[in-house]
Amino acid sequence: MTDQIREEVNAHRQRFEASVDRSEVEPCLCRYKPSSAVVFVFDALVFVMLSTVLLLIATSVVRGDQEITVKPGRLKKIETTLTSKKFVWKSVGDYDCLPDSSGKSAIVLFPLPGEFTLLVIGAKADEPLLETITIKVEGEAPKPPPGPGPKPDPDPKPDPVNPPPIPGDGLRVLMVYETSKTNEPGHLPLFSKTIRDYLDAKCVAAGYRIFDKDIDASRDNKIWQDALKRPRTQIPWIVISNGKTGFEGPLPETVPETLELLKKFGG
Amino acid sequence: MPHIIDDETFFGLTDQLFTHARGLVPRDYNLYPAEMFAPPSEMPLIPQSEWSARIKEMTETQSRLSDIRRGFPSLDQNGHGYCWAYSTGACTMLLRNLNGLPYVRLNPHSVAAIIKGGKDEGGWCGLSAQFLREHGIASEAVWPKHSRSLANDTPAARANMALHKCTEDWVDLTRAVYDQTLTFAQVATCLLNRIPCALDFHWWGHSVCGMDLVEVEPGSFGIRILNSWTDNWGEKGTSVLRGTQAQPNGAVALRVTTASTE
Repeated sequence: MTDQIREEVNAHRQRFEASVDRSEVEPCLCRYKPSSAVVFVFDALVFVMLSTVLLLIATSVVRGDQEITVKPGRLKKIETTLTSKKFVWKSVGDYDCLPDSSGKSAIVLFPLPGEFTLLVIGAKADEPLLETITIKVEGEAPKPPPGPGPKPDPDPKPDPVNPPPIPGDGLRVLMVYETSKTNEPGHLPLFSKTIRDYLDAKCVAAGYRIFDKDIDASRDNKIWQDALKRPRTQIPWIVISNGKTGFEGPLPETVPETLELLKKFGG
Repeated sequence: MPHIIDDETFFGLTDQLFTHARGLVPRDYNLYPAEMFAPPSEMPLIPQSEWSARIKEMTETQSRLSDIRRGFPSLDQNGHGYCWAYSTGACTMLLRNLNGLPYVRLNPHSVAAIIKGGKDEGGWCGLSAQFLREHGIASEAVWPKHSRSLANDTPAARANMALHKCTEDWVDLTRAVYDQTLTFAQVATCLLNRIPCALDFHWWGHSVCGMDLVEVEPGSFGIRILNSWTDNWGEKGTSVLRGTQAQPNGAVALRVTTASTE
């Protein structure tokens, strides 16, 4: 783009030079016919003036390059060094540029590393202003955030209990029920052979109890007395412990659900 | 086909039914009135229309008391007229299995011998049930098997008895003495709830432990009992009573036992 600017400047110079009618200047010089020294000085002054004008034009079109380094994926506020009533921000490349309300600064965001150009165009009186900002984007792009993950369980179960509700290494299970209500739905897991076979296989020796809520456990091991005293919100109820963590909650209504719950802690 | 005792098979099984020791003495209501136990009125009956489906589910899931028994050997009253203590003793062992408690072989001789002062005398299931509630029952590890000697009645034996009490809601299923249909429905309800029952049968002069309600044929129900004549009798110590042979004259339901490790 710098080449493009040069071309524009050169074109502007050419148009300027073309617009100068030397026939009007030179005849004036010829009619006067000063001395050669005077002619030399006058030519020198004209040259300096022209060069100055051209230089001013050139520098007023491209003035004050900036070079800025930013990180990919991070917002950056850039302020122009130009002085103007209004500004135009022109992004050259695939990145976002958002000027503020004053136009004096803009927020940019580069998704990937690389080198980019940002042009700021202003004006002062009739004089065009142009600023070229070179932006070097360096560093690693931020990692994409993790996906949404699994959908929430529509029927969430209580979180595992930690520390385990029944102390001691190995699997221990307590199920509590009311004898007068065992003919109601949801009690089959208490008596199912499938569940009992699992408990026999996976629990420690004498590692499970299936108690009426009012049983006298004062002559049983203390761990079962304490487990029986733990708060319950309903019956039938199940307490599971594997020595590391455990579960307390309503007994699942079916044998497969109960078995699945047990296997989470007993394997 | 299970071992069945009913009106059709009864006469062909008399040698199996009456050559072993029994010991049932019918209840004397003057001595033991109907009010001595909690009434069964609080127990909602399961309608007969539901029996078949419930039996089927329990059979398929092997969740009957006979399954929960896990094959422990039948008790053996060994020729003494102590069946009325062995029926409740077997019920207590089934409850322990149901509770997941360690297996302990109980000794009903400890109950009957103390009640009868060491004598070989009959009784009814309510007598032993009352003792079980107040004192408990000793294990064979503490009270020697088949011993009627009161020398075994020691503080250590009593302490061991206390480990095996039956607590909670004795249910006198024969409160309605003259309504045998209601009694059978009450027993059926208990068994479908996996509540073992001690059952007295006057026709048999015997008291046994009731385990399962059984549908022998569609619409024809019986009771699977656990006898106290070893596993050599019937089908591993069990049989199914049907018809008039299934109508108990005395019955108590044992609902909750003490939890202990020995």
